[in-house]
Amino acid sequence: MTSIIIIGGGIIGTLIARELAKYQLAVTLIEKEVDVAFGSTKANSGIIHAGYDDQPHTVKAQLCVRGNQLWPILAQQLHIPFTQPGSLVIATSSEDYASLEALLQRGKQNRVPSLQLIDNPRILTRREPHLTPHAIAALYAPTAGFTSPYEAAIAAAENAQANGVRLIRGQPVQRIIIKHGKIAGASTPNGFWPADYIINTAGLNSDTISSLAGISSFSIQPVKGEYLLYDKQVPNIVNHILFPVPTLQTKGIVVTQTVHGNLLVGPTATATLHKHDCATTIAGHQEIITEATKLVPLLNQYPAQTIASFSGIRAEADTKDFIIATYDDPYGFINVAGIKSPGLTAAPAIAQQITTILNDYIGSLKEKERVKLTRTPIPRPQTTVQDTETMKLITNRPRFGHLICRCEHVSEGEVIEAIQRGASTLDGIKYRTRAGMGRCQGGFCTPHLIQVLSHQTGMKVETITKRGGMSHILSSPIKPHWSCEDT
Amino acid sequence: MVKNLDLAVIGSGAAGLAAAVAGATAGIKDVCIFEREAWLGGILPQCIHTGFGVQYFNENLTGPEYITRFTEEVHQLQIPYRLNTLVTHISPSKRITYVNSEEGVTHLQAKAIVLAMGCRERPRGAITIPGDRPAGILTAGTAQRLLDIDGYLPGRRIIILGSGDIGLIMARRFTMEGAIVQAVIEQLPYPGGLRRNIVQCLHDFNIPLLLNHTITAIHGLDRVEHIDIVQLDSQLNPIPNTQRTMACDTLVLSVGLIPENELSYDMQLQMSPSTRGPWINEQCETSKQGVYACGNVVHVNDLVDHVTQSGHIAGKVAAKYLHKETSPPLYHMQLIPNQNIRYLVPHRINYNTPFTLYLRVTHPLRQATITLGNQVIGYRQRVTPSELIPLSVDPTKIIKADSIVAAITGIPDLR
Amino acid sequence: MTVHEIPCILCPVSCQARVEKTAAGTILITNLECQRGEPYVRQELETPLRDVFTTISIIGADIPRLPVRTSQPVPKQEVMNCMRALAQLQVTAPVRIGTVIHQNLLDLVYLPFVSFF
Repeated sequence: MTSIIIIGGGIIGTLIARELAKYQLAVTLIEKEVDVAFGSTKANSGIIHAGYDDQPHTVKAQLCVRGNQLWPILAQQLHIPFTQPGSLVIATSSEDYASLEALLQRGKQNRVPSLQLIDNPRILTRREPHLTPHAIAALYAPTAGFTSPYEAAIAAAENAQANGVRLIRGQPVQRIIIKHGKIAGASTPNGFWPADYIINTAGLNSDTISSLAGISSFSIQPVKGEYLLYDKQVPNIVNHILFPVPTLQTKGIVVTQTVHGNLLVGPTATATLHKHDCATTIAGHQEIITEATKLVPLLNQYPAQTIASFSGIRAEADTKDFIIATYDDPYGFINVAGIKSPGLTAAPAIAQQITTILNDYIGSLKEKERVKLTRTPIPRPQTTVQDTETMKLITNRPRFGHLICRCEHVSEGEVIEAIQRGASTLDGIKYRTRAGMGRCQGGFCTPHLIQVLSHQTGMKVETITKRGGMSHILSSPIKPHWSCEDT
Repeated sequence: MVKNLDLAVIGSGAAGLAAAVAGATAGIKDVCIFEREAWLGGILPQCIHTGFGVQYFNENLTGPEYITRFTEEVHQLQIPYRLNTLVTHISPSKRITYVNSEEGVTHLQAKAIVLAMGCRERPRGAITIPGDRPAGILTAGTAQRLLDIDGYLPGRRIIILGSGDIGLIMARRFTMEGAIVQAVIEQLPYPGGLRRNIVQCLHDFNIPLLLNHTITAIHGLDRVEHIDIVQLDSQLNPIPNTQRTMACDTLVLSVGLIPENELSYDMQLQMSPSTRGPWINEQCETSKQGVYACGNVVHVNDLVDHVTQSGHIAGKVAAKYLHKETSPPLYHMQLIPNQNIRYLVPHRINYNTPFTLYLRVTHPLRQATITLGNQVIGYRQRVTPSELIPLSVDPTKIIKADSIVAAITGIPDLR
Repeated sequence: MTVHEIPCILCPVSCQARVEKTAAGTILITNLECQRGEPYVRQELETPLRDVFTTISIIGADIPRLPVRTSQPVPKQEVMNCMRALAQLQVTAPVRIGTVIHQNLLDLVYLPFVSFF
C-alpha cells in the first residue's frame, strides 16, 4: 500500500489526514509537540471567511471560497461548534466606502455568494445596535462564520485515527530521507518512518522541514497577532463578525463572538524575529482597544472584564500566497506552506486538493470500504436544565455528574474521556473540554485536573505539564527533598 | 414534580456553616448545605496556618481547627449536606438547580436561600500582564491548595505579585517548605495585608517587599524564567529607567479576590458596584425576600471571625423568615460612603437593632473619626485599606433619612 | 539609651511599640493601647516565638496529607529546624483532631503537636 507521512498536526495536517484516511493508503501523521493543534491552530480567531479579501486567481482566493462551502458539512460530521452569523466590513469614510466597493468587486470575481453593500446607516444600526455611529456603510457577507479551530483539529485527528491513520506525537522530524531523487521516509528521535510521499504541513516550521527535503525556495516570516478575550458576562454586543476595512497586510482588528459565547477582539499584526515569540505586549493591547472601540465604542466600558490575552503567530510565506507545490526532485514531496489567513477557512479545500494531487501521482486512489465520516464528540451533560440524555449519561457514568470546572461546568467524566482520547497535558484537556477556559482561568479546576490526570495515567503529579516539554505545573512534593538531604 | 426545601445554604465555608448551624439551632429541620468540594469547610481546610479564631474563640487556631468546631456542630445537629455538588443556577423565583453524580441534574424549590459562595481569585488574564504564557504562573489560593492539601511546591524560586494576605501567607509557607521567595511585589506605597502578616511572613524570613513596583512582562518558554519589573510613581505610572529583570521559576499572583456572584446575577439580585456583590441590609437580607447573603460573597473579609458572625446573622434571620416571624422594615436608609471609604457593608439599614458596620478605607489615615449621619461611631489611631474596620452602630441614635452619609476623616498616613 | 520600634501584632490596630533600653539594661515599653501588648513585646525582645505548621505524610486517609501545628510557639530560630525534622514524620489514619502526634521535637523544645482530622 502506498504510504504517506504528513508532517505537522495543526488544522491543515489533521484535515488532510482525515481526508486521506478515506482511501486505501497507509497514512502517518507526525506532530512534534505532545498534542495536535498546539501551534498556530490554537491561537487564531476561528473565523471562516467569506472570501472577498483575497486577490482573484490566487490559490488563497479559490481555496477560501471552496473551503467556506465545506465547513458546514465538516462541522456537522465532526460534531464541532460552527456558527454562520455573517460579517460586516465597516466603512466610516468615503475612502473606506471606495474600499468596500473594491472588495465587493473582488468578492464577485472570487464567486463569493450573496455579497451585499449596505449603505443605509439606519439598516446598519438595526442589525448592529452597538456599531459606531460613524459607520456609513458596510459590506455584508452572509457566508462568514466561526468555529473552534483547535476542536476542529482534535476532532479531525480522532476521526482520522478511527479510519486507520497512525498519529505520532511528541516527535520532531529531524531528517527527510531521499533515495534516488525519491522520497523514502522521515526520521524522528524514535526511529525511521518509511514513506512514498511526504506532505509538509508544519506551519511555522514548514520552511525548515522543506529544506530538509532540499527545497529552500521560500521562507516563513512569522507575524504575531494578539487577542483579548472577554468574560461571558460581557453581553453579546455584536451580532455579526465586525471587520474594519482591510489593509494590504491584514484583515484588521475584528470584533466577534467566539463560538462559545465570549467576546473576542483582535488580532494585531506585528512581524516578529522569532517564530515562537508569542509574548503579548502593552502596545498590542492598546492597539486592540483603540482599533476595536472604533468599531464598537461600548467596548470602553469593559476593560476589567478581560479573562485572557494571548497571541498566535501567522506562518506567512515570503511568496505572499499559499504554497501548495509538488517537485520533480525530490519526487513525492508536497509542500503545503505559508497557510496564514484564510488558512483555517481553506483547510477542508486544501485537503481535497491534496487528495487530487495524490490521485494524479498514484493513478487512482481507491476508497476504503468502510469509512467513518462522522466522529462522536465527548458527551457533554446539560447542567442547568433537566434532560433525558444527561440523566442517562450520569446514571450510566456517574463521573459526568461531578463538575470540576466551576466556570464552564465541565465534568470529571469529560476530563477522563479527554484523557482517554489522547490528552496528556492540562492544555490538551483544556482544548478538548474547555476546563480552564472560563473566568477563573483554571484557578479552581487545576488541582482537580492534576489529580484526575495523575490517577488516569499513573503520571506522577510533579511530571504533569501544561503543554509538554519542560512546562511542569509543579516542581516537587514537599519534604522528600529534605529527607534526601539528611541521608 | 419539583421538590421543596425550606432552607438552602450555598457553600460550606465559614459563612455557610455558621448560617446552617444558626438556622438549625433556631429549629429549621428541612435544610441542606450545597458544597462543590469533596469536604465541608470552604477555604479553611487549606489554611493550615494559625491566626484564626482570636476574636471568636479567644484562641489562636489553624483554619482546619477553626472550621472543625463548626463541622462538628453540623454533625451533632444532623444538618443534611451534599458534597461534590455544584449549584449551577438559581432562578429569580428561588428554584435551585444542582448537579452531582448521585442525582444528576436536579431542580429544587427553596423557600429561603443563604448565599455563602465566597470568593474566587483574580487571574492573570483579568489584569493582562504582558509576556509569554509559560507554566509556573498561578494564583496564591490555587498554590495554597496544591501545597497545603496536596503537598506540592509550585517551584523553587518564587516571586509573588501582590502583598495582600494570601500572598504573604504563601510567602511564609513556601519558605518554610524549602523554596526561596525572591520578593513580594506591590504596586502601592503600602502593603495590602495585615501588619502581623508583614512581620511574621516577610520580616521573619527576610523576604524583600518591593513597594511601588509592578511587573511589566513575564518571560519563559515552557516555564517562567524571569520577569521584568519597574518602579512606579505616586500616580502608579512607571518611572523611566527603573526597569530591571528578576530571575525566578514561578510567579504567584495575589492580585485580588472577587466575590463569586454568578448565582446572585442569575437571581437578578440588586448588586452593589462598590463591593461587587449583592447589596444587603444589617440582617443580611438582599433585595429579594427570603434570600440572604453572608461572608465573602458580599465583600472580602479579613478575619474569618467576622465571616462567622455574618453567617450566623443570615441563618438566624432566614429561620425567622421561615417561621414567619420577620417584621417589615422600619426604614429604608441607604448608606453612602464618603470619598475616603472604598466600600461599606451593610449597604442599607432597615431596622432598629444594633449591628456591626464594616468599612474599608481608600488609603491609610491617622487619627480617624468615623461618623454615620449625625452620629460619631468610632475613632481609630490608625486605619489602612488592608484592615476592615468593624464599628458598632445603634440605629435608634441616628436621625433617619433616605440616604445617610458614612464618613471617615483623618490625616493621611504615608508610613 | 537605645530606642527602637516593634509592631505589636496581636490585633489589627498594630500599635508601634516604642522600646527604650537604658544603659543599666532596663526596658521601657510605651505607645501601646492595651495591656496584652506588653508581654508580647517583651517576649519578642527576649526570645521571639512563632507557631510552626505544616503537613505530614499520612497513610490510609482520604486526604493526601495531614495538617499539623505546634501546640505552643517555638523560638523563631528553631522554625526551620522543626520543619526539617518533620520531613521524617509519617502517621497512619485515622487521626483525630487534637491528637498529639509527636513530643519533644529536636530535644530543644518540649512541645506536643496537635493535628487535624
